[in-house]
Formats: sequence, C-alpha cells, structure tokens
Amino acid sequence: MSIIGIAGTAKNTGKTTALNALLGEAHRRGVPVGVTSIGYDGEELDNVTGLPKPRVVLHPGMIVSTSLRTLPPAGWSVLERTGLFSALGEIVIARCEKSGAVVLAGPKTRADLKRVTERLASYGCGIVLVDGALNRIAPMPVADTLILATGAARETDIARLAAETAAVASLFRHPLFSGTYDVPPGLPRMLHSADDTSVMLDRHAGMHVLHLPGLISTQGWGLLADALTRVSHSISTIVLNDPVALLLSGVPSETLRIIERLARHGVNVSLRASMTLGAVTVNPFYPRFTGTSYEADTVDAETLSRTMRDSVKLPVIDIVRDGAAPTWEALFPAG
Amino acid sequence: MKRILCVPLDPVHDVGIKIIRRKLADRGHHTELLPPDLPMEEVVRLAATQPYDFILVSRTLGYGVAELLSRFNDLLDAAGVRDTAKIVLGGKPITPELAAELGFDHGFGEHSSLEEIFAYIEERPVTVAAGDTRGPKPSITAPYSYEFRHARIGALLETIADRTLAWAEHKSSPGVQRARLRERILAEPDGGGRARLTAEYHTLCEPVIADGNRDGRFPKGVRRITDTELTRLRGLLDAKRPLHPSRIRHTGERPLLFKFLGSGCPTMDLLHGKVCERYGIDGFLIINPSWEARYEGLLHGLLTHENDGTITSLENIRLLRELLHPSTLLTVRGHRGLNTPETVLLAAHAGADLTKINLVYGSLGAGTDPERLTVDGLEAMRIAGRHGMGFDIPGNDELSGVPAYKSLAGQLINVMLGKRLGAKAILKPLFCYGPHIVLNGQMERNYVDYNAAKVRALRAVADVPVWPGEPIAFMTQTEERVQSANATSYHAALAASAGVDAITIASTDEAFSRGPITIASRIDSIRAVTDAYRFMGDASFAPTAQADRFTEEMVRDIERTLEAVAAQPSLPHAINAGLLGSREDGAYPGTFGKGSVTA
Repeated sequence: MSIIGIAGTAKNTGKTTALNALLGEAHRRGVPVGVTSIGYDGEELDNVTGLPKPRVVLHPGMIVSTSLRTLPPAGWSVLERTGLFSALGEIVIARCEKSGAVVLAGPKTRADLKRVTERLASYGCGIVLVDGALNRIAPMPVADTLILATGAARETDIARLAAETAAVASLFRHPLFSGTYDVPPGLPRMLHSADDTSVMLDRHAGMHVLHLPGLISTQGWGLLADALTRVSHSISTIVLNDPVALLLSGVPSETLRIIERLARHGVNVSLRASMTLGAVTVNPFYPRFTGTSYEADTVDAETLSRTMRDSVKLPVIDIVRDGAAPTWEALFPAG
Repeated sequence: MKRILCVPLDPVHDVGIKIIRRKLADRGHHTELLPPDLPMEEVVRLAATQPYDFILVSRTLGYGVAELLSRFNDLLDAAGVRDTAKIVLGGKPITPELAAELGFDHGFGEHSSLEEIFAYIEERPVTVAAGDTRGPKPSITAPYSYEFRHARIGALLETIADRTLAWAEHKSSPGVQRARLRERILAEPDGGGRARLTAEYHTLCEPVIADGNRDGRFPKGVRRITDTELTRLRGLLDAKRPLHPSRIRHTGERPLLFKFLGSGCPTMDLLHGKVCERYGIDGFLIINPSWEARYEGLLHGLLTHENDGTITSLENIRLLRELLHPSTLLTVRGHRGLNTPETVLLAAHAGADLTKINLVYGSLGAGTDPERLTVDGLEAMRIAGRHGMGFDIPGNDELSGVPAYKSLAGQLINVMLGKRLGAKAILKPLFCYGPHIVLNGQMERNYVDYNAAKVRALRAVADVPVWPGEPIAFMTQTEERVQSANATSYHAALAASAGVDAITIASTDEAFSRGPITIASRIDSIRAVTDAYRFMGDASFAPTAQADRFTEEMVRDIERTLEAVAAQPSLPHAINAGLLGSREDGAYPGTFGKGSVTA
C-alpha cells in the first residue's frame, strides 16, 4: 500500500484539485483507493474567504474516512466507527456506493491519521490519499510520498514563490541517519530561546550524535548555530524526526541557510525518517482581499509553471492546464 | 479536575477567554492564563512544558489567521503536545467546520453556551441541550375568569349580547351553511357521499372558487404546490429536531411574542417561521389574502399564491402546523370576510390554537356587511367554543381613525358574545400612533401614557387577557430599519412593563417591503426586542399622572359608547348607525355579502 499526502503551502493552492485528479485517475485505472482529510474539505464555499471551491467527487467502491455527520444520507455504507473524533464528531470508515460529492473531515493529528490509514489499508486500498488542509503538514509524515500544492494564494511574487519551494524541496532531500544517538535529558520540546540552547549545550555532556524529538524554530536554529560556532562541544550530528520537523521551523530558506552554516563548522543535520516529495502542483489562482471581502484573481500561469520548473528539480504540474494524468505518472512512473 | 492552559493568541481580544478561565477555575479546574500576543513558538514551548489536558485558544479571524492557527496546531502536534492535550479554538466567527479545517479538536463560536464548553472540558454530555429546551405550549386564556369588574359595563354588554343573539337567532347565510356542510364533509369517509356533499358545497360558492376546486382554474397567481417542492421542503425542515431557541424574555414568561406569516407561499412562510422559532418567537398569525375574504367559498388543497397573504386552506394550515414546532402557537385569521365560520372550523381541524374574530372591525375596517358578519361571526364563535379555541379581537379599526374607546368598546362586545357562545376572547388594544391620536394630541408628550392607559382601562373593566397589536408600534415606524427595530423594542418594553399577555411585532421592513418581507428584517425586530428585555429585566416604565387621567376618560367613554349601543335593537344596527366608528371617524360599514343573510 502506498500513502500519498497532499499538502498545501496555504489555502486555495490547489489541494482539492490535485486530490480530484488522483481520484479520477485511480477510478479510470481501476485502482482501489481510500481517501481521508486531515482538515475539512469538499464544502461548496470556502470557510474563510466565502469563495466557491471544487467539490471532492468519489466513485463507487472507494473507501472514505470522514466524520459521520458529513456523510450524505444515502449512497454510503458505514464499514466501521473508529473511536476517533474530529471537531465535527466521530470519524467512520465508509464505502461509496454511488458517485457523488462528499465533504471530508478526518483525523487531525499524526497519531490519529496513522490509525486511520491502517484501517483504510485493511479494506484492500492499494493507495490511500490524504488530503491536507491549508498549510498544515504535521500529520503528513504518515505518508510515504507528498505532493506539495503551492501557488499564487501562498505568494503572488512568482520568483519568491519558486525560491521558497526550492528551499522546501531541499529540506526533503536531507540525508537519513542510521546509527545510534543520544537524547539529552530535560530538553524543551520546542527549542526557541537562548535559554533553550544553553540547556542543550549544558546537557549534551560529551554526546556526539544528538536526537531532538521535538522542534527547533528558525530563531532557535540561529541561536544554536551561534552557540555551536562560538563554544567548544562534542556534537557532530543533530538528528531530527523527519523533513516535516525541518519545515515546521518556520522559514525554510532561512533554516536551510543556517543548516549549511552548521555543516561548514562540522555539525551535520540528519533525519530519522525520510519522505519523498513526489511532485509540486502549481495554481495561479488566488483570493484577492479587497478590503471588505475576497475576489478571485490569477497570476500568469505560463510564467508560474516555467519559473517553478527551473527552480525545483521535481515534476511541476498545473493540473488545470496539464490534466490529471501527469500527476499520477509523476507518483507512479511504472504505471 | 482538568489542567487547562488558556491562550489568548490575539493582540486585543482576550476578554472572552478570561471570563471562561474564571468560570472554569470556579468549577475546580486548574487553569493558567498566558499573556496576550505571545509569539506562537513561545506558546508552544510553554504548552510543551507540562502535560495539559486542554489548550484553549482564543483568536479573532482576519487576513492570514487561518494559516497562522493551522501552523500553531502543526507545532503542537510535532512538539508532542497533542499526545495529551486537546486543542480548542474559541472566537465569535468559529464554527465546527472551521475548527475541523484548521485542525482543532473542537471549536466554540458566538452561539455556543458556557454549558457546552464545560460539558466538553468535563467530558460529559451537554445537559441543557440534550432535549428540547422549548417548554409546553402556553395558554393565553386559561389564567382568566372572564368576569366583568366594571358592573355597569358588564350589564350593558349583557343587554347588547341578549339583543344581538335574539336578532341573529333564526338567521343564516351561505357562510354558515358552507361551514356546516364542510363539517359533514370532514366527517364523511372518502367516496360517493363526500363527492355529493362537495358538489353541494360548490353550489354555495362563487364560480371562481368552484372552478378552481373542480378543475384547477385558479384565480391569477394561485397554483398547487408540487410534490417535489413538498418533498424538498420536508427534507429541509425537520420539525421533530430539538429546538434550542434564543430566549427573548429576560425575566418571566409573558408577554408571548407573535409574528405574522403570510407571504402567500407556505414554503416561504415555513422557512421564515423556522428561523423565527430559532430566535425565540412563540407563535404566528397566519394572514390570508384579502380576496379570500371577499369570495363566497374557499379553495382546497396545498396552494401557493404569488401575492400578499397565504391561502388558509385546510391543507395549507395542516402543513404549517406539521412543520412548525409543536409548542409554537398558531393563529388563523377568520374574522373579516365571507368565510369566517368555515375558516375557524378548518383552523380547528388543522390543529391551530387560536383564531381571530371581530364583528365590528371586520364590518367597519375590512369591508364586510355588518349583518352578514354578525351572523357568520356568531357561528364562528360557536365553532371556536366547541373546539376549545380562543380568539383574539384585532383592534385595527383604530387605524382607520376610530377613537380608541370605540375600538375597545367594540372589542368588549365581542368578549361578551364569545362568553355567551362558549369561546374565550383576547383583547387587542393597538399600541400605535393612530390618526385619532395624531389629531387629538394624546401622544404629544410621550408614547407611554396613552398606550398604558388602554391596558389599564381594559384591566379595570374585565378579567380578560390583553394582547396589544397588531403589530405594536404601528405608525411610529419608518423605512429605516434601525429606527423601526428601535420603535418596536420600546413598545415591546412598555407592553412587558404593563403586564400584557402577548404582543405582535412587525419586521423592520414590514410596512415598506413592497413585496415579501425578508428574514433579516424579521431578525432585526426580534433581536431588538430581546435586547430591550435584557435592558429592562424586571424593571418597569413609570407612566406620568396623565396616564391615570387617560384611563379614567377611557373607561368613561367606553361606558358611554356601550350605553348608546345598548339602546339599539342589535349590534348591526349600532354599527350601521356609526356608534362604534362613524364616517367622520373614517369608518364605513362594509358591503361584501350585503343582502345574503337569510331568515
């Protein structure tokens, strides 16, 4: 079984369009598929901007995990209740009996998503699609492969958007660590202040390879780099959980720059688990704030796709222009 | 005891979360409150230092805030805080859907109660919302004895009732005959008997009604509601769903609040009605089209009408009754045309609670011949009495220019006639700035004294419920919605202060809508009244000494009017003689159905 996460860099970057493209391709190719969302998706109008959104369309046989309350009254068989809850109530596993639009409201945390994907797999889904929400990424390490949806809704300056996406892609290529490590005792789960970095330096006591199970903010990275380049220490490698822990630092390009600076001083940053960034989808649409409400607007689609391709060394797809198939082929090149 | 971290992730708005924190602490929970507007990473760092059970976050929404809150949940998840703690979002615009999208465990918004928040934190079911928060159906008439406290007025009314009932004793009309036929039709099982009776019914109808019922050739703008429309409507409204309405009254159980329904379309009426129920309205008056009162005979079936007034067919009233909440009071207007007894009969069979009958206003303000309306109205009161239905007596003749004392005298005659025929009446003095008042200056100093005097005068005369209408604040409202809502709310506060049983309130666009009124305008006036009741609470208005003088004058003038009426052979004679409203006042005896009364 393959778990595909669809994460966005912001609202309205094209997650639902990417999800629909993959659902349509799976249906066309006869691949049994399961689907869930870490947020709330498929509604007609955006919860924040009030603008129309694409609906999530499912076909008979597809397995879905969503809150019972969001399932339409007919066209579904509930297979099991999960005992997990979203803000909309208990999450169930259900089978689609009739093609139609559905609202997805699934597990909100990494732990819950893991349970749900296991349950979906038990119904024979060859592929499980995990729909993201806004810019949320924390539950996504449950997936094997990630699609990153970005576009003008994140940033209308195409050059800056491309640079940011390239930095994100670099964080995903970070090396894996496979060896033994130590965990310094009593460290905060979020290293953010000078106090936090001093605690870490005080307590590393001759350790070479340090594992930090929580997060380091971009500010924390900066303070840590300053300290490690100033005082003597035994640290050669800092191990984080996964690429998402790096992404969550804050500003990816800044984090990347600090990590490179640390490497020059003999401290490497590695990951315990990897995730493949399979493709980047781009969306020229953005909701323009008029001062009182939002209006639909776009940046130049051609320039967006071209600039993004030049920056990230990954398949870049504008699904509305390029169609659904390239996304599928980028994820499953063997067909 | 839960460990709760309260996080005002907001530069300004931390009042709500402070209140909730205090209440949670009072309930024995361990609570901590962070200073407002800390950097998010700092909040996550602090949240990760202890195993909290709940992190409560308050934040207003704005540009980019959705992404900010999403990132907050991501950080808490990746930092391991969510292994133990539930993350809860609160703020005015927060809905469960938005909370789910942003990745929170739960969300509480403007319409959430403290009890819901406590129940969630304490991991127990919500106690107040478990069932229906709407109580049993209230009765307006039950607490009253219908005794006359003013002996002389009581005696005059007895005389008027004696003479009027004697005058009407052997009289009938097509309206009375149709009601009696209809009662037999309703009792008859489907089949030949019913068809024969229906054919006979149609011989007593005007062609436009008979044609509509027989082959669907309805008056312009009328059509049947389709099965699809009905299915969709029932799908949309689940009448059995528990109702958790807002509370309009801050203290006490009176006055009950009524609104009009009568868009012409029962579907639209129901959508408006359900919204009003949610906002705490106690009942509705179904207002029929004015033409319905002027034709002999009633249309049957589920009918919609592209004009003012909803057709009061049995099926239409049944649909409204079925889909409105069981505790909602339903009043059907029967009083002013050629189908009064039959309308009251249908209302009773459809499960309506109240009807409207006023022999005087129906003749002087609504165009029906006084003799015909008296014969029909008395039959309607008998039917209401047999079915235990109360009836209210709209005093809208005052809007034609009739002085208040004449309108109230006419209403008291209806009370006595109802009492004789077994039906309990409800007095309806207008709370208005009517033409007679404008001309005579009773409201030059304030709107309080004269309206209060009407209620005091009626209370001094009889032990009968009082329900100012219709709507209150009539002729003090303009087409500016805020002004209109304010005017309604002040009059509603005065009504509560005067201790009345019910009031009818208009929507803010009611007088100026030039078409169906809007739901937003209905909410305007309901919310304005709710606010006025919160403001007033159990305090009350203090009318000036002038109100006492108005009251004395009013009682004296009512007595004088009734003396003149009692000297006439019957009520129709008195109406035709202008004793309860003259041509100079602006009241003209109606002509619909003239000559149709039979011996």
